[in-house]
Parts: sequence; structure tokens; C-alpha cells
Amino acid sequence: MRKMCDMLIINNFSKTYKGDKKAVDNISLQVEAGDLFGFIGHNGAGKSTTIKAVVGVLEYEEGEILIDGHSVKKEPLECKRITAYIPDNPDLYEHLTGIQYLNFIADIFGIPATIRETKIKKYADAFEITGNLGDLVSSYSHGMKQKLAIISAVIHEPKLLVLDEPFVGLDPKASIALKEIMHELCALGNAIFFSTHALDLAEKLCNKVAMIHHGKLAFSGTMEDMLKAKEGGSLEGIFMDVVNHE
Amino acid sequence: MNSKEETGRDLLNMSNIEVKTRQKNLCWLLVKNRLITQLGLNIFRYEKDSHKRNNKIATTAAIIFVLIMVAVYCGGMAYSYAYLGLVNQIPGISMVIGSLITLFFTIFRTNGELFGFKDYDMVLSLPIPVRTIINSRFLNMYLWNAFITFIIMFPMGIVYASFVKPSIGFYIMWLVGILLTCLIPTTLAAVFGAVITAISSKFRYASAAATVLSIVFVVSFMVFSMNITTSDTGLAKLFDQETGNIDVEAFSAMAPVISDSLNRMYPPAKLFVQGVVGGNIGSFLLFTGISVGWYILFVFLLSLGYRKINTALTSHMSRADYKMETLRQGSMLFALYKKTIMRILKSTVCATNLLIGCVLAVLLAITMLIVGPEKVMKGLEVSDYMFIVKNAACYVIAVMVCMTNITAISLALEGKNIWLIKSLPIPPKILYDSYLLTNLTFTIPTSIVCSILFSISLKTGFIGTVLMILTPLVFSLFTAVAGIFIGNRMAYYDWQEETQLVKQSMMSVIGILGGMLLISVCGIIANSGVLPISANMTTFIINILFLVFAAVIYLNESNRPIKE
Repeated sequence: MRKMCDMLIINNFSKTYKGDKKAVDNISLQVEAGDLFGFIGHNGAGKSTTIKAVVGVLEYEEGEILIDGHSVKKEPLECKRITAYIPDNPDLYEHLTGIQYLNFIADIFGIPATIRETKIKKYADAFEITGNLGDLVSSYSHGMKQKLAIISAVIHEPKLLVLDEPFVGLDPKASIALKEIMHELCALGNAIFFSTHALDLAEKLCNKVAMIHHGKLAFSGTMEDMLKAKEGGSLEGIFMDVVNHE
Repeated sequence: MNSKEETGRDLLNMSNIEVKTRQKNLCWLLVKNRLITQLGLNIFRYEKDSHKRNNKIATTAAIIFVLIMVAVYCGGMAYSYAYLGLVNQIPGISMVIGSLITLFFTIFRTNGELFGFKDYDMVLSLPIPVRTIINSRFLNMYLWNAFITFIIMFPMGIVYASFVKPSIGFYIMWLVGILLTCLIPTTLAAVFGAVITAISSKFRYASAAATVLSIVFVVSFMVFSMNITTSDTGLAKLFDQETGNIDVEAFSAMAPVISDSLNRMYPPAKLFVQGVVGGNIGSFLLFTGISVGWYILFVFLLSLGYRKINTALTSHMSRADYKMETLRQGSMLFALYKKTIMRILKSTVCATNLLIGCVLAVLLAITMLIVGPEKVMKGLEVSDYMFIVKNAACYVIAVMVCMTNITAISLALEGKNIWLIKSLPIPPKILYDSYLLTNLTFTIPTSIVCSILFSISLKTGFIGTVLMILTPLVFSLFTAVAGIFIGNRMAYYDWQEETQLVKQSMMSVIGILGGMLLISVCGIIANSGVLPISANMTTFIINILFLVFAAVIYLNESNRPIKE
């Protein structure tokens, strides 16, 4: 049953690619408002598949995904209006300049001019790329593209921010800036659902975590409960236990 | 010389041989890798998704069917020449057709194929000599062109041989000739591509400069070839004035004129014909030498500046001096429209290939106005058919304008950015509308300008002028809407290079050639007198019909989900 503060509900979600075995097998989890939810698993565990289904990029047949009470399958536009997504390797429109790209995204979300100006300035300054916004995206490094993608994702203050490996390619300063932005968004009652391989970072950053192994959910709950339930101590130790006990 | 020195020299020779063999293998390895990607061979072999595999099989079958039709058409054309007593012109004509098609298929491909290709950094970081890289990229273009030339020349050669019964020498020279024919135009196109790329790489807006230069080059080439091939013998003389039947003797008498035109238009054709038809081995060897020598010279010269050109192309100017300025809010439709327009204009491959029809239409309309239709008609000796020209001009404009079919490939052009379109809250209708608007931004003003210029120069009456304006507009709308229909069914996002999409995809072929064919058929029906109503009335009915078709397709497509 859905609680008022549930921002993301995944119920019995499975995904089978044609002619192959199940990439994700019957997983269920809930992300509540204010949660900073880490989604961890080995390569090919099914993290990106789940994330793509959540943000409406991937079609699925089994299970149900709800964002703030709206079904991803039945009301995709309602869900997308309150969600933002950054893939692991964001391919942005390279023929646009940084500011044109941000303006494009702001137009899609209908953000008023004054608000977009303030937000772009705030986040671009935080990531130190304001000066580069007039340059073509094609001239950006991987890290700069990542920063631009993050700014574009947060300028409309999404209720649910979905990130696939957001820290890859970011310099230490930008990583700190991103962590601050994540905390800030969660403090405002929004939720963040992100995948990562950086277990120590997840342990420090997240209040909740889910571990996926070969498409099946190995654990889902608060970080505190996870660390208590397993006596391994660290998230890294628990992860290694799960991976090694196949 | 002592044995140590001999052994050393042997080892040196051995290593030279090994290096040369390795380079050849490397070249073939690069070409093989490229062909596997372009032909999608791994989809046939390893794709587990049966839907994707079946799609590939269906597309390949359709392409094979089209190629068979082209071969049959070429054979039929050669048979017509033989029937009209022009059998000895067949080798020269087939060679010139093969060369021209090669030139036009290659001219806009060099940027993306020879320069600025996606895996340039990866390939250049490998221990492969630059010349091997150029050779591999050129060989790839050559193999495709040789295949197309074979489709054109082989059936024409069979028809020629069946009429002339030539010696065994002809067959050898003909097959070798097919392989050599596309070498000169491929190299020529590559040279122009290299020059255009080298010049444009100096500009800040390299893509825009390359687009303008490419269009200027193509237009200049067309004007030049039209000037040197304008025949002194009018078409009217080839038909019996009373019965309208073909005058075979008049056609036969044209043989020297055709020969002369071909030689003036493309001088290597003379050597080729002397070798193949006249059995002159010296001429044929000279043709072979020019073809191969020209290519070797090109590769040598290009290898000197290849890295420089590519570096200039892939280096981006970064000013890093942006200061936040006032931003304006726009609608979702306008944001998508601006994004699509910029996508087209900032890509040389897209802009040149998709906008050339509009450019040619405007140039033709201006020429008609300045030179005057009488002079143009008189030059072609078809002034008797002015009344047909008046009625058919609207279809000519429509054919040229509809070469700009952006909608058919717009969705596929999203490519690796499709995740953005799918994850953002964009209703499909608004996305399709933005593609339509982009297409119409180019076709509607062109149609109106050309129609007005044609109406003034041809002095069409009120009804004629209305139809002149209405017809290209209706067909612009119809082909743009049909493009959405095509793109929504055939789009794929995992393409490697834009050329693949713009020039080689079924979406593009059906969208552009299909539209041109459809309009031509309508034009013929309206002006051939097969219907018991006037040409103007037929054109009016055709316009209404296609307007209805466009509306039906639009309503059906506008809420269709974006293709997976």
C-alpha cells in the first residue's frame, strides 16, 4: 500500500530482454520523500535496466512502477514532469552551447525565465563552469558534460532525481558540490535514487540502500538496518559476502 | 660481403616484407571492420532479438530488389540504345553514367568517411601508418562505388556484347574497366572533399563553411556540365512531327554528337571507349594508368596533411568567457524546433544533402526569370511544348523542393541522444510537430519564392499562378507528414555516422526518392492527357487528394508513441 510520502514504488518489477534470461527478476522497493537511496550491485546486475524502466526510457511488461503515485506505464508524462534522470554516460546535444542546452531543458519543463537564470547561475557557479556555458557542448570534457547534465537535471527541482553512476568523471570539488546538492534536494522533501559502485561513498551518503545481485534483490532497507543485520561491519564487506555466496 | 652482412640484409628485407604484408593486412582489417558495421553482418549472425534481425533481413531484401531493378533498368536502357542504332555508344554512356553517379554519391560523403570520422582518435592511436588509414577509408568508399558501378555497367555490357559479339579481349577489358571506372570520380570527389574540408577547417564555424562550399561546388559543377553538354541537335528532330513516333535514323545520326558530348564532358571516356570498343590496348592502359596514378598521387599528397586537417576539424574553439545574461522562456515546441534546426544546419552532411534540392529550385527559378523561359526552351528546342512546361512547372518545383525531406530521418537523427527525448516530458505530438516545422521552414518559403518567380517568367494566368503556388506547398506538406510516418516505422538510433543515415538509409531513400517519384507520376498523369479533364483541373484534384492524405496521416501519426 502506498504511503503519502512514497516518491518511488517498484512492485514486482521484472525485465526480460528478448531471447535472453531475466535481467531483473521480481524486485520491489520503496523510496520515500527525503530519502537518499543508493542502489548497488556488480556490473550487469540489473541496476541500469531498473533505472531506465523507472525513468521511462525502457519499456517493461512485468510489475508496476509508481512515481509520486503516478504509474510510469499509464501516465508517463506525469511521471517525467516530476523526475530528472542522468545516465551513466550522458550524451548531450553536442551542437548546442551549454547555455542553449540548459535553456532547452528549461523550456521543456516550462521554468520561468527569472527562476532558470537564478538556478543556472547558482549551480554553474557551484560546478565552476559558468564561463564555459557559451561554448559548444562538443568541446566539453567528460566531466564538464557530467556537470552540465547534473545542472540540467536539478534546475526544475525534481521530486525524484534518478542518477546512474553520477560521481564517475567528476573531480573531487565537483563531487563535493554534487553531494551538497543531493543533501539540499533531500532536505526540501525530494528523493534521490542513484546507482553507484563507490560503496564507501554510498555508506556515508545514503540513508537507505538496495543491493541487487544477478537481477534479484539481495537487500533493501535503511543503511542502519543493513549494517546491523550483517555483522560484516562495512557495506563493502557485506557486498563481498553477497557476491561471493552465489 | 661477409655472411654477417648478408644475414643482416636478409633480415632487413624480411622485415620490410613483413611490414608491407602487415600494412596490407591492417588496411584490410580496417576495411573489414567497417564493412561489418556498415552491412550490419553481425546482426544477421549474432542478434538474438528476432524483431531486429527480421527488420534487417527485410531492409536488405528491399535494397537487393531495388538494385536488381536498377540493373534491369540499365539493361533496358542499353537495349534501347542498341535498338536506335547507337550500340557503339553503350560502353561510353555506361562509363559516364557510372562515373557521374559515383561522383555524386561520394561528393558529400568524404566529410565523415575520410575526415572527422567517429573512431578517428581510436584508429590514430593504434600503431597504423596514416597512409594505411587513408587507404582503408578510401578502399571502403571505392568498394561501395565499384559495386554500384558494376550494377550499372555489367547489364549494359551484356546487352552490348549480345549485339556486337566482341572478342574475348572486350570481356577482359570490360570487367577491368568496371573496376577502374569509379576510381577517378571517387578520387575526384575525395580531392574536392579534402579541399573543402581543409578550407572550412580554418573557419570558426567549420560546418557552416563546409556546407556553403559544398553547395557552391555542386551548383558550379552542374552549371559547368550543362554548358559543355548542351546539344546542338534538338530533341524535336528525333521524333516524327506528324505521328510522334521515334525516328530511328535520326537517332543513329546522333551517334557522333553523343560521342563528342561524352568526350567533352568526361575526357577519360574517350580512352575507355577506344580501348573497349576499338580494341586499342594502348588507350586502355593509359586509362588504367591515369586512374591508378591519380589515386596514388592523391593518397601521397593527402597523407602529408591528413593529421593536420583532422586535428583542425576535431579541435574546438573554447572561449570560456561566458557571463550569465538574461534568458528568455519559450514554448516546448519552439525549444524542440530550435534544437532540430540547429542539428540540421550545424551538420555539413545533413545540410548539404537535405537542402540541395531547395537551393537548386531557387537557382532554376532565378535562371528562368533572368534568361527567360523562351530562351531556355529554345536552347533545348522544345519551345513547341511551352504549354506543357507551363502546366508541369509546379510539379518540377515540387520535385526539387521535396528533395528536402528532413522529417523522415529526424527521429533517427536523435541517435545516442534518444534517452533525452524519451526521459523528458515531451508528448510525441509536439516532437513530431517540431520535425514538421523544421522541414516546412525550408520547403515553404522555397516553394513560394520559386512559384512566384516561375509564374512571372512563364506568364501563367490567375488559375495557373494559384496552382503554381498551391502544388509545391501541398506536396511539401504531404512529403513532410509522410516523412514522420516513415521515420516512426524505420528509425534506428545505433548508427555510427550521419552519412549512413542521410545517404544510405531506407528512410532517406523512401522519403526523398519516393516523394520525387510520386510527384513525377502525378505530373505525368496531369499533363499526358490520359484523363478526360484539363491539366489544371487534374492538378487541382491531385492537390485536394494529397491534402486529405496529409491530414489523415498527420492525425494518425501525431499521437503514436516514439519508436523504441
